[in-house]
Amino acid sequence: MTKSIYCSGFGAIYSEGIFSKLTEKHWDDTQNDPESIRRDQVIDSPMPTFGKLNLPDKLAYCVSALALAGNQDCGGDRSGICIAVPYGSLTTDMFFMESVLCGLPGPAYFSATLPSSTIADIAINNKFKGPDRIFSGGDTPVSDSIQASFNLIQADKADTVLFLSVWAIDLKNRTRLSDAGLVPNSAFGALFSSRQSSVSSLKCSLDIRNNASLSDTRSEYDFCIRLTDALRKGNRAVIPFSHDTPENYFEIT
Amino acid sequence: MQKEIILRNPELICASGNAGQTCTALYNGISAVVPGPSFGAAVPHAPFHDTTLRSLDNITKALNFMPPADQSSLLFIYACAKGDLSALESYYHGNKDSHLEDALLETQAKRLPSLLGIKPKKTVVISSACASGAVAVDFAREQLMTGAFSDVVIFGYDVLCEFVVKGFNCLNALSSEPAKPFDKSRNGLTLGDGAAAAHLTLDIPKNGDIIICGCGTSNDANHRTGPSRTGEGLLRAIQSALTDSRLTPSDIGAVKCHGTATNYNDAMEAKALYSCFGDNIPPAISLKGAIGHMSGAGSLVEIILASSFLKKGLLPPTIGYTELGVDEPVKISGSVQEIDKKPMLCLAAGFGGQNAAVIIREQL
Repeated sequence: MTKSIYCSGFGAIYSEGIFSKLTEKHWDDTQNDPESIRRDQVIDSPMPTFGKLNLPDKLAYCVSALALAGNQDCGGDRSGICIAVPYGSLTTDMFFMESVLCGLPGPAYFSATLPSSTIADIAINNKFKGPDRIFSGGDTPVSDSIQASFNLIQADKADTVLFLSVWAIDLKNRTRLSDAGLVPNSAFGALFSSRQSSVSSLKCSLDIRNNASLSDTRSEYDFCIRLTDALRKGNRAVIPFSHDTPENYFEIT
Repeated sequence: MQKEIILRNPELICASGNAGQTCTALYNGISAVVPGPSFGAAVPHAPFHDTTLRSLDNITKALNFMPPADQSSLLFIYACAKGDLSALESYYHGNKDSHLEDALLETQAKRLPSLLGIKPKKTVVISSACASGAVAVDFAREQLMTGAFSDVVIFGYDVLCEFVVKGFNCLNALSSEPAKPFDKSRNGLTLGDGAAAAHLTLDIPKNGDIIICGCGTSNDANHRTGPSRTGEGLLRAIQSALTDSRLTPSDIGAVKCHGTATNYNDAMEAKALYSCFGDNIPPAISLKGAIGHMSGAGSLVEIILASSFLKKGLLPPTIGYTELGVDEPVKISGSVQEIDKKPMLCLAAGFGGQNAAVIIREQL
């Protein structure tokens, strides 16, 4: 039997600001990119910084904090994470290569040179011990990751899945890449659950027909922006993954 | 008869050669590990016999993978930890023709279907550190079971390079001697080159087919790079795979361990196995003393080799292993031994707390 799935929290970090179910903040005058996000803007904590977290890990950590805010009952063996991280750990790889060329390879950098590093601190801090899926590219990593989140719940391998999508290349290294098609630094997260944890949880469904023509990275970024907008409003909405593939959509029912 | 997920046309290349050559070497106790240096580090390693295979163009030709005949509903999965880092290294060594974009796994994934001679409906990149190949098998199984696709091709690739060798070396994770999995004197891992490709499909099995019975994954939620000290994360992955397979621990005939030969990994794995099987842990093997640790590709390479052991009903010796060096009574294979033609458990783990378990069996 198909289970009902609810979205009980979300978070988004774009060049326009920080958005979640509970908050909406715009960048202050000293900030010009999500790269400069401060810990106190997303987490009510006395810790001043993000320690050694590199940009992809930092943005993933921030959106997870926003999505999980007010959801104290998740975590444990039945809580998993699915993430789309299309640029992988390239930005951290570059820092590590620089440390190699200096003759002092940095262990802290190397430890974060895997796409799976992006979810490590989130899993540790929130005790998410269930299954993971890490999509580091491909045709449609965002829709793959959302679909994997739903499949893990439907297959009874998890009750709660934190879905994340992160595009992150630090501004210094971004200039070394061809800018064509690069998505701005940004992140989105949503907490999906088979339980309706509060009255404000939104019932969701998904329809993905894989044989439809494929999306692209930019379309998937646009999808996250439209999904953020729909979740903020909290109304019934159908959000296609791309304009070219209206048959693939996420629905707030 | 019920349809099952079948592993077809598996191919691999590692330091010992292709699947057939590697099996022969393993049964004869021959290691492919050579002394250092490796990319400036004084450590043994398990390189491809021909190091020009460290390129996607050359390795895909050499694999000689037979694509599925019907590709009308084909999913392609690129499974790796770091994949091809040559563009990144080349950029930093001043090659003006190199493009950093080529270091992205998604860029590499776009090139791979034509190199492998396939036309997938969709391409996915799964990068779950050193468990990537096993997690890809889990994801493929899920996609086939839900009917999203009728065929899946998985390609796993991770090779020795400056980035990887210097990275593990700065973590002090590399052994100065060839890896000694589960041995009392083990002191670290040995890296290796590896690539593999396999076709998974949902079909009615024939005698001799290898079936993917079930899979499970979990996160330790414990440490960025180190394994859990208790083994509970890997145990959860094993239990999930058993549930998925509708099997119990007593149904398992042998275990292909992750067995990196680091102190903490092997101790963790032994705890997980003991928690699952108690005093009745089935015969177990680690391959990393013979062919090295091939990161994300390794778990796919090792599942393919495990399927060969299962078909032969023989477990090779664990090269590098002499005396048990974990607290639990794990029965590490010390010589070629017969195993029951029962389902086999294949384990993998990786940075970020990743754990994966895949159970395979032969259709009899």
